[in-house]
Amino acid sequence: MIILVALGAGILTGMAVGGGVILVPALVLLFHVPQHSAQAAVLAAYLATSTVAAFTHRRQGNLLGRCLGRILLGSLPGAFIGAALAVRTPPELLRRSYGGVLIAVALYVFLVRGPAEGRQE
Amino acid sequence: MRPRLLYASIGLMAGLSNGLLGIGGGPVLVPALVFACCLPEHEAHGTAVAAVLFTSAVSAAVYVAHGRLDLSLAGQVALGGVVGSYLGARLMPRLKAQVLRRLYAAFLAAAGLRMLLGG
Repeated sequence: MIILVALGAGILTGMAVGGGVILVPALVLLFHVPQHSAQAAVLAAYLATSTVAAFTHRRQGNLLGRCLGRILLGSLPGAFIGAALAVRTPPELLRRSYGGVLIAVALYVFLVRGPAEGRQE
Repeated sequence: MRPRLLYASIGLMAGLSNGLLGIGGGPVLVPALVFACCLPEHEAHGTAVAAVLFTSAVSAAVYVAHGRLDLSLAGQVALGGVVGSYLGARLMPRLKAQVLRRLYAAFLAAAGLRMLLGG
């Protein structure tokens, strides 16, 4: 069953609308997966799904090494800090925070024209 | 702002939200790179995918270190995700972006409310 939901989320990701924010709520609300497990699973799964994409982008010359390095300079420590905070946060608080962010994202998607419009390859 | 600082700041925010909630990938990073760093969209997208890849690895490692990762769950999610992404990329030209975004936003809002208020 979970595979089907992941399939749906994957389809959305393939369409460039982002699947993780669909998956975590689905796992938590439909399958009663604990908040931390859901987040961890989605993160780990992303490694598998995006590796191929990353190589493809690199081959097409769309991966800018210097920019990447600079981004990682901030994002790697950020991820470490964020995750370290998350694992120390009680599940209920984490879930509620996640829900709040989702609402904000929903408003953003609804009100703002996103990059998806530009991707008419 | 010096380029390195700008990129790193954007990266920091993406990394924090990635580690904290597992969010902060393409939909956030790509517009940031396009608007703040003036990267062309394809290159912003390509770079963002790689950035989130490495960043997620760090986040995932921390979760694993604290015993929060269920491998079987991750495996199922990965399997569905890989197949789904492929299908999604094929389907993309066929669906109206506007409709999809509204449905997407509606779902997020509903799910968000459930998660925020549920107990």
